[in-house]
Amino acid sequence: MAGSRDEVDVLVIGAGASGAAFTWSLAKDGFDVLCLEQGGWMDPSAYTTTHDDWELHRQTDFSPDPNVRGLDVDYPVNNQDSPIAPLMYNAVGGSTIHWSAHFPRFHPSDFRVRTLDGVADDWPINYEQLEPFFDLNDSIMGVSGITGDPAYPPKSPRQTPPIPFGKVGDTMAAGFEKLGWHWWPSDSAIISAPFDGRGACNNCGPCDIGCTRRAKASTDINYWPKAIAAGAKLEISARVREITLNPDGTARGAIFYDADGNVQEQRAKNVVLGCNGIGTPRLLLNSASAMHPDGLSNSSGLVGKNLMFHPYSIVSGIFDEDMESYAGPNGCSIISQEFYETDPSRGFVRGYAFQIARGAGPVTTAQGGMGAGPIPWGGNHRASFDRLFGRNAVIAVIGEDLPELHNQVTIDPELTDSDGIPAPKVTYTMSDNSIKLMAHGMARGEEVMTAAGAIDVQINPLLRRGGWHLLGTARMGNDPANSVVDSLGRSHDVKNLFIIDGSVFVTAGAVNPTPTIQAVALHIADQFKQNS
Amino acid sequence: MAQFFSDEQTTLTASILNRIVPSDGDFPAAGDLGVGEFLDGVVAGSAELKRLFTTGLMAVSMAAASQHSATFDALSPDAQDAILRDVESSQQEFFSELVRQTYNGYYMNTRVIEALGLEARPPQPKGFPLEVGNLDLIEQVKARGIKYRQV
Repeated sequence: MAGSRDEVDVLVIGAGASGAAFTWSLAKDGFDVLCLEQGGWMDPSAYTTTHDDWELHRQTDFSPDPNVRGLDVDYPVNNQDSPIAPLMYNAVGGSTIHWSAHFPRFHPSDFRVRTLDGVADDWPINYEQLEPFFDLNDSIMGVSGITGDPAYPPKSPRQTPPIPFGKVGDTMAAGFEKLGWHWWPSDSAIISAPFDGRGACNNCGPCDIGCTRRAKASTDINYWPKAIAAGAKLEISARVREITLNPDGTARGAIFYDADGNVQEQRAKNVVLGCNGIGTPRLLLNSASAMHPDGLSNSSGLVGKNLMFHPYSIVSGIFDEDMESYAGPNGCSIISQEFYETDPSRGFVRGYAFQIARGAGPVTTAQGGMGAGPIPWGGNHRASFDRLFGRNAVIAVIGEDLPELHNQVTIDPELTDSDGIPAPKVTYTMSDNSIKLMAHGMARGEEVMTAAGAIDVQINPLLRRGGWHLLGTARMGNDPANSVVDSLGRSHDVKNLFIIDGSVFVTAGAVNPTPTIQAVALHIADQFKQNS
Repeated sequence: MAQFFSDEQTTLTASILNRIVPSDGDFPAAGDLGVGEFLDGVVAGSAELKRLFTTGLMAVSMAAASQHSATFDALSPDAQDAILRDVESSQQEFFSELVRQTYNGYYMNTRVIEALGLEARPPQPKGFPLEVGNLDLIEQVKARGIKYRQV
């Protein structure tokens, strides 16, 4: 072992959405915090939206799929036994680097599914407890939107006005109105006016390959500068291999590979994991020891189990006019939560949301975008392309999948990352409830597309490259036999080990999870500070 | 000067690309536009693509020789398309890469982007103007009442 360093009070592993929020919360109140991140700092001015070949980067070094990127800072994920490929980014900022920044909160009912619907489990925390942390998080991330949405309890004022609808948003809103269905301008973590020293969005489109204007929130440009100014330490290119233990069973720290590939041990009084719903169970399972033969903090057997992604169906409508649909943040315009809450007459429990997305640039359009495949080659190519490009609007149907033991993260017996650390494997199938729920969503999606005036509707029933949301694999609960951490994010088995990322989710809701992940992380940080 | 393709492969590739994206009005055919050069550069950078394209291109020229006793570029468009459809099903991996990379090279070409009626520039720094939209409509949504489940 190359070296052992000074002990810190709090060691956070992972500098993404949750790790950044947690570290900032502790650092601003004077705690001694060090974060280890396997990736490095991104340079916003170097994002490829200023390059002529910008669209190609989506297929190569900026693919959302770590297996396609294959960068040294990434780790591979065996996804052969899953119809949904997990997506993530490894850098300071984590997956907020490549996310589309759609920013809806969970609903109050999402925390009470056992009580309300008799499925899964209730969370040990609720919406009211998280509400101040949702608002606090919004004030750091910067959210554009408008208050008054009847699908939610009242929220604090949004930091900037809504992202412009464009013709896509206007046309779809008119379709929802025709049917009398709920819709609302999206809460987006993309500022529409200058905020906190960041530039306003200029509607360039491809948020997923990085925002040169720093209009799209990512934690490297908001939480991290504030946390570091408050005294937090952040070490990059530091890839953790395992969590180590003291003889008394408490966590002692972490063994990691530093930027030069040397093995180091960082000791800490408390260890906090924010590595996402795949990285966190991977690390716990890789930290098996004589005391914890099935993986660290795994006396319940639930580490890696109950993986939830959110299945996505894509309903693409083609209109008979130029909608300039390539313009505007590609994932953010309006939402609909008409079918979010349970209605037993539909034949399934829980529900889904519609996220209205926009069209794509020329290359991505030709490759089929989020549809079922590329547009045809040959004599029909020109007509097929021209009727689609700039003229399409997209409904992403995002469904709640329930926690199920057979959907899981395990350690692949052969695959490793570039440091030789065993890599994860995901195994996932859609349940009967999810299949019915998504079928309902596709049919309603087609209905509203038609109401909005689409002349043709094409459906991709399950988006393979759609595993943005990695949830449930170290869930929260009051009963140690049935959960991995308690309501404070503290491991039931290891009293100074905490988990703060999407792994702790008991259920998945039917919305993008980042605001809720960060609110949970801030809640855990607040409790940690109070109890210290 | 090609990086990977031989002279023969360069000629063959141009003819194939002219069928993947044929000319139409203001839009040039992909081969005539020089997408073959882009493709050559991509293939030269990948051992896997070199293998796929060597085998795939050979399948196309062999089909032309055995079915028509001619080179592929000398055949009628219909005869060329028939061969390409055969190869599309017999060499799926090659063909899907061929189509993908052809679209990549074609749709980032300045002439094509201008034919689409767009300025040939990346999204930044200029961005796009976008209509704010009809926010008055949200009053109707509010009027329909609370939409979340009370717990």
